[in-house]
Amino acid sequence: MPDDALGRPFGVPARREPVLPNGVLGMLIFVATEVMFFSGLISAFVIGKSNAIGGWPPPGQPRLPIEETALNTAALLASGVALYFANRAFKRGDAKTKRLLLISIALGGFFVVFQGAEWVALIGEGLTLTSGQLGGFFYLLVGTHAVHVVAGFIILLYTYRKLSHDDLDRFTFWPAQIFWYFVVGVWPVLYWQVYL
Amino acid sequence: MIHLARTCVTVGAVAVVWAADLAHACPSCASPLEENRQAFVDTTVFLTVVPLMMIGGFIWWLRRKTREINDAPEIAVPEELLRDEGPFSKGR
Repeated sequence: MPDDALGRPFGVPARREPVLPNGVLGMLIFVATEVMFFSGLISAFVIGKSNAIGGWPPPGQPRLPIEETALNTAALLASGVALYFANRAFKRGDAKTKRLLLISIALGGFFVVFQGAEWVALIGEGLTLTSGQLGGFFYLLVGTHAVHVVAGFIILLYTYRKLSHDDLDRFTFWPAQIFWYFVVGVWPVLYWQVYL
Repeated sequence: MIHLARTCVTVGAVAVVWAADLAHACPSCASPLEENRQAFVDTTVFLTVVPLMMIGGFIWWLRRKTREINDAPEIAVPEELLRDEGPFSKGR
């Protein structure tokens, strides 16, 4: 049987790449549900805030640390930027990928630790889940986000481990990035709504 | 048959308008606060637009990507062959 230009026998259909890898599609669907979940929480918070008698934040409640959290927000955003550059380096096969991914993970870890310290201070000042509307909404919204940050942190650690073993492919790295970009992207909205 | 359908639609529309008035279906109608009413409007718009944008954006991206793939040659042909005036020529 004669061969085609690439040496394949005629009659064998060319194999096409899927439009979207399964892992990426799955992660996109998951993130879409997460976006709606956070949209619902934020909407409930906005309505609760607008319904508060006596203004917001409610009088007699501790004030949230705006400046300190702004620094933490910058750290999380920088983590997203570092991951973006890690991906670019990964595409080029650059050795810098490992270092950039590690920076991204470290900044994510800093965010989690800083949030933990902030929570300890706020609980010490009397802001708890049951202390009022502010505390209830704060721990619900920020706590839900924190759970996602921890999950994203673990996913990034897993990708780093795979990268260290030269076993990381784009089908694993891409979904991990999508999730982390979601975690990074939703935080400024929460900061704007809850803290400012 | 068409007459029956028209009657059903008319009765249905009247019932919906009448029932909504009775039930105070809109939760913000009873609120005396303008800010609260506005928050309900804003969040309704937000929660309506976000899923539409996500699904619409994904379909738009998928359509563009599918077109790109469909426009690509069925068989990957080396560039040097494409430059020739042979059967794989771009000018064909």
